[in-house]
Amino acid sequence: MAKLSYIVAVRKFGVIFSVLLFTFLASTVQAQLVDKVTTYKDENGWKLKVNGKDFYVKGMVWGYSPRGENYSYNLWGQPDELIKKVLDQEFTLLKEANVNAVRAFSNIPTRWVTYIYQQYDIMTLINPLFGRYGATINGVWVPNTNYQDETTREILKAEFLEIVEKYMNTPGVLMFALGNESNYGLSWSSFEIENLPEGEQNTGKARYLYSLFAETIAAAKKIAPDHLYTIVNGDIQYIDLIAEYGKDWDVIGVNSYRGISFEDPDNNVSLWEDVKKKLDKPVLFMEFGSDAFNARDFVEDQESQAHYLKGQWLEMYRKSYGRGEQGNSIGGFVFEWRDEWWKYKQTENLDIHDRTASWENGGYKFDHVEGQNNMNEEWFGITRLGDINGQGVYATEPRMAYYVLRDIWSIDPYSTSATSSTGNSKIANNLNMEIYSMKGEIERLKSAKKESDKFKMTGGKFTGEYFVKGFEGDVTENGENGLVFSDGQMLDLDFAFQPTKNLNGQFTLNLQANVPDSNFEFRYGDRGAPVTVKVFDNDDVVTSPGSSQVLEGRERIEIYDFNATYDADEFTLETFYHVPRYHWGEKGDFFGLLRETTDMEGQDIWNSKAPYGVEYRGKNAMDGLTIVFGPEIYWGANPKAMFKYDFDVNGIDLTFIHSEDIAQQEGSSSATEATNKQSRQTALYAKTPIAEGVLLELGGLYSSGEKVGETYDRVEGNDIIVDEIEGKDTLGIRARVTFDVLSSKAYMALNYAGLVADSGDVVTENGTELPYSGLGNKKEIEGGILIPAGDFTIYPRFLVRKNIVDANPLIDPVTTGSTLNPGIAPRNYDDDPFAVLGNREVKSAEVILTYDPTPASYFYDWNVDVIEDAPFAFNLGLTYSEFESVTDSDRFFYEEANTNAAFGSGLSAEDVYLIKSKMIFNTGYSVKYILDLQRGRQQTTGKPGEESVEFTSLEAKAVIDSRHILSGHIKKDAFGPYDFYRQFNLIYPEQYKLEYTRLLDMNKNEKNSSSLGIKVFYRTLDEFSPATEYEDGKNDHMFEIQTYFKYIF
Amino acid sequence: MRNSDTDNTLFPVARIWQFMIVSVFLVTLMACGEVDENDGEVVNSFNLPTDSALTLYCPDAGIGGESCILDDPENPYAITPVNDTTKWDLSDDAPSWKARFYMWATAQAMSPRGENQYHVALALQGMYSESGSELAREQALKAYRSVLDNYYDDVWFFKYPAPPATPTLYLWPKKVRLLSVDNLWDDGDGDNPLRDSTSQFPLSPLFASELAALEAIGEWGYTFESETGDIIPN
Repeated sequence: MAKLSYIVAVRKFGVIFSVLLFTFLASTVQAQLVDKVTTYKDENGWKLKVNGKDFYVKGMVWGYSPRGENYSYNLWGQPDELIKKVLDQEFTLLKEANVNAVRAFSNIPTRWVTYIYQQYDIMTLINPLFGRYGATINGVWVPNTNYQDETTREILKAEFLEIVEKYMNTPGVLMFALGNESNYGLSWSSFEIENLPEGEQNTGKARYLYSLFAETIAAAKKIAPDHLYTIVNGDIQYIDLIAEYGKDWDVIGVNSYRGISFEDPDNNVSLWEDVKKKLDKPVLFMEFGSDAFNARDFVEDQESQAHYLKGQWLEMYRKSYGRGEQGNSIGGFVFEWRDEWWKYKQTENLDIHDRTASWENGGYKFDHVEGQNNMNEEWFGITRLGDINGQGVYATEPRMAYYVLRDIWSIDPYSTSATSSTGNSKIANNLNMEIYSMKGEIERLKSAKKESDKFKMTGGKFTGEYFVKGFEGDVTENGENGLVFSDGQMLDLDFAFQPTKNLNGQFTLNLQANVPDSNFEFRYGDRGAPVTVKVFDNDDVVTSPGSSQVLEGRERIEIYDFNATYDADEFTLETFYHVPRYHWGEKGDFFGLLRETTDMEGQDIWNSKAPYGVEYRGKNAMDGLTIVFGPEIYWGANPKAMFKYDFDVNGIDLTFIHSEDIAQQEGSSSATEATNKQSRQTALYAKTPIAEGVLLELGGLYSSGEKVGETYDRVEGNDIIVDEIEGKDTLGIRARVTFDVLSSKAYMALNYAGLVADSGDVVTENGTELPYSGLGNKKEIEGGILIPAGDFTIYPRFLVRKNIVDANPLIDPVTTGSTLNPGIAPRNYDDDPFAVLGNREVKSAEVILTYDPTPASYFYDWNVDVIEDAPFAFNLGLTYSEFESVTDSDRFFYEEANTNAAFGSGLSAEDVYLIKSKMIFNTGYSVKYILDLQRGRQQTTGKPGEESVEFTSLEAKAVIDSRHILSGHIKKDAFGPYDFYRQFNLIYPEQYKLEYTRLLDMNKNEKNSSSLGIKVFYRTLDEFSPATEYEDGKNDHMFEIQTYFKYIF
Repeated sequence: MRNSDTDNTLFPVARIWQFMIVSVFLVTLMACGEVDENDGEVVNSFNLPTDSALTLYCPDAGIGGESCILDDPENPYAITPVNDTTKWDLSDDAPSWKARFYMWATAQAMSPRGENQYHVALALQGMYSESGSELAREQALKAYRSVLDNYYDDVWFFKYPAPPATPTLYLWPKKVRLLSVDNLWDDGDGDNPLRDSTSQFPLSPLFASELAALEAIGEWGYTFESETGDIIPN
């Protein structure tokens, strides 16, 4: 036995030792596979060396943005099969062009970095953006990174070090670089490219930025000392700060757009000389190049692009090691590989190749006109973005510059032994520009793109549908004859126009043939459904029978959406019609006066055309002024005009807004949403840090001044009081303080609004369900603290609100002899200057737990179902609200009489709650699961009198291989799917839906892929369900099957 | 970049003071937002008029969409919740035609429709019947004309046999314009409500003769069809 134990022990030891030995050897081998990249300097200048060999960076800024997508598109989240197809197409061409390195704005996963290196011998610069375009700080998305904030600094540094650890042993890594023109981000007001900043006005802020770079690189070098580190700076702005903080940075990474040359001898300016004198570091261009569109002549101009790139590269070669000049050029990454169709406006016109120039640069003389923009951001590619091919990959179509660079890069600049000028002449003489021009022109013609089209069709969609539906009573009674069949056909055609360089736009035309008939869904296209009218021979509509007639052929063609932008020197003018528009919540609209209208699908149900109007945005002397006006500038708005002016006083950001209704809407924006009286609001907002880590936001509001003098009634004790609206009742004030508590972010807000000081929609975040309201007549206090705990965040919050004047009870009037006791009734917004509705008294508390190990894909993004890339992420929230008092009466729009009507009484006091959870699973087998669970007790939003019920809801979706989508829901005792169901307390005992969709296009998603599918609906009915469906118990259930085919072209 | 050590010590203190000052200011402001109990007027009861002298707050008080009656300080119903539920009892309990006029004019101002307009006319005719006031007669004619001009097809579900008689449970829909015509002159028909001597609300005709009534109707732009008893636009 003892001998057996000994043998077992030896075996165990052997296994363990073998495992350890293998691991050691594997890591050693891995480490040996990692290239050694170093810099070298002597009296002749600087070189980069990879594994001891000279390496002049012939690089390309590379990315893959399909048509119709923008920066949010993630190639690395697609199936491996597609990724490989894309890489093979792209890197074959890159390799043929003699590219030896790429820089990408997304972090290419390690295995694909290795793949690119091993298959194509191309290295990768790892370049985390380091908060340049916002960052998630303790679970909160912060769009404008504050490099001064200690918590932000720690988080950004930690994230970068994590990346270094991840990539440090990956074969193919060239070096690490931080940020992207982060210094420009200190001056620009948006994420779009703006005119380059002049001077160094933000030295204070810049010092925080560069100090953070220094701390981070120093820490990274401790982890991975064998790698090189740099930053990506906007030109050499703040070079003195770079000299102060960047002493141990290995190279200086620079984005520079100075034109064909980086020197101006006439003015004694030289980027090379400045760097040599002040930094004594090698220069690695991270971006440079030229666009291929001539903004002056308004045509594609690939010749100028090729000419500029040729000039830039010949200068870079001249400035490299051993040429007798500064010797500090070690290469660069050309901006960029391919056109990106999202760069102008970034979230609009993604499938249109915009020709609008968005900034001015005098260095590009081929199309520069003083005072006019000439840099076309969507045209910087040395290849064009072609159409999608049979492999599901968007084609790459080389321009003339591709061929020029290919031949330039075939030359090793270090091997030319002649003097710089002779060597470059030799290179230049070998470049036959005419042949390149011809090749480029052939490619352009082959792509069949008419770049100078002023008007063209850009695509469209055909939808064919077939429905069958039925009610239990009808089917029981009539069998198959109780089923109702219908079909529908709809065509959308998309058009774009740009007749001049200043004017561009797009619109969609909608045509429909038949309209399918659904009992479960209100659908865009119902406008064309047949309607039955009664025709009477005489005026006696009450007793004479009349005859029914069916009106068909209604509204078959309409313009679905339209927008056009005119870009002048002093202003931009935009007309919009039924296109998504965002709120101004992060632009100084503290009171939410301009509401967001992005739910196009929700509006289409009612054939609502909002938003539509015109927006003016000032530039130069009028910079900061925005005017929006129109018949319905957001969904449900009265015809109005809004003025906004942003300015600052002594470093305090201020925003002034005035909103003026011009008329009252004639009809409801949906079927039942009441219209609102004309009104006006004026607001002033200020934002300023008041201490380190403490931000104060303060706003003042003047609203509904036209109601001063109007009377209202209220109850006090046993008395009925009639009072008048006074000036003070139109005023409101709101203050919010955000501050750090250890590593957490906390806030507190106070809100006072006079009786009629109504504002707009409060901007909510992080999935909150607290019962906010923009109505006046309130005193509110709220607060919360976002507590990070690793990959978790916990967010407890509270909201307490009291009314200045309570809701009215219902006391009937009584006449006794000749004395009238008038009684009192709940108010409503048509008959009274104010009413207690959503702004009712409440004590509400909420806690939300979120787990998201990949904060780059923000869990509370509107598109989280698509962008969330964590293997598992979820949230769980509980909101509990005590409504301790009743409300006044809400209203609805009574369509038959074309007028508002009040419900007559309000909602009762009640406690409600909501538990909700969203879970997202990204399995390793190309399957994504999304679950949404809700359980709660919720009141109606209008019709009073009936007790609330508890409901449960489960929605689920599975996306398999990006081609198959299975989705559905199960709901118990829940409101119907549209707002008016909750408004009228219409509930179904059970609701089921199951849908299967097959996407027909590769590399596309639900929104832009052709598809076919089937949907099945089933509901049970009871006395709380719509009377027209339940029919007094005749129908216990109803069902519908929909099939559809969509072809997107 | 960190500030000096001294700054690190002061910052929390300064921060707390600033935060407290702002909080005190805001809390004070909110505490001031109460409604003064002395604001407003107590209106627990009103004396209803028992006379029949008509004064009009504006020329078209009680007519069409005119809402000036709601601002009339003489109107005891101005702040009363007059609606489809309360107006019938309020009308039945009103101590006089004048009170009834104010009540129906309030109903009309809040919800302009045929049955409210008709009862405004009826109340004014009642005041005329009591006092012989020419102003009341003119205003009643205005109201009846408004029924024709603005609410031509509206119906009223009245209690049979004739409004506003002792209530029965039977509801009969009739075009308010036909009811209006019945009240303009005494056509000698036994069914004419003006001849209903058992009615609690005896009314005097607004025209002494059929001819005078037809002339006025013609001036309004209508023609009376004696076969149907209906009134047709010209």
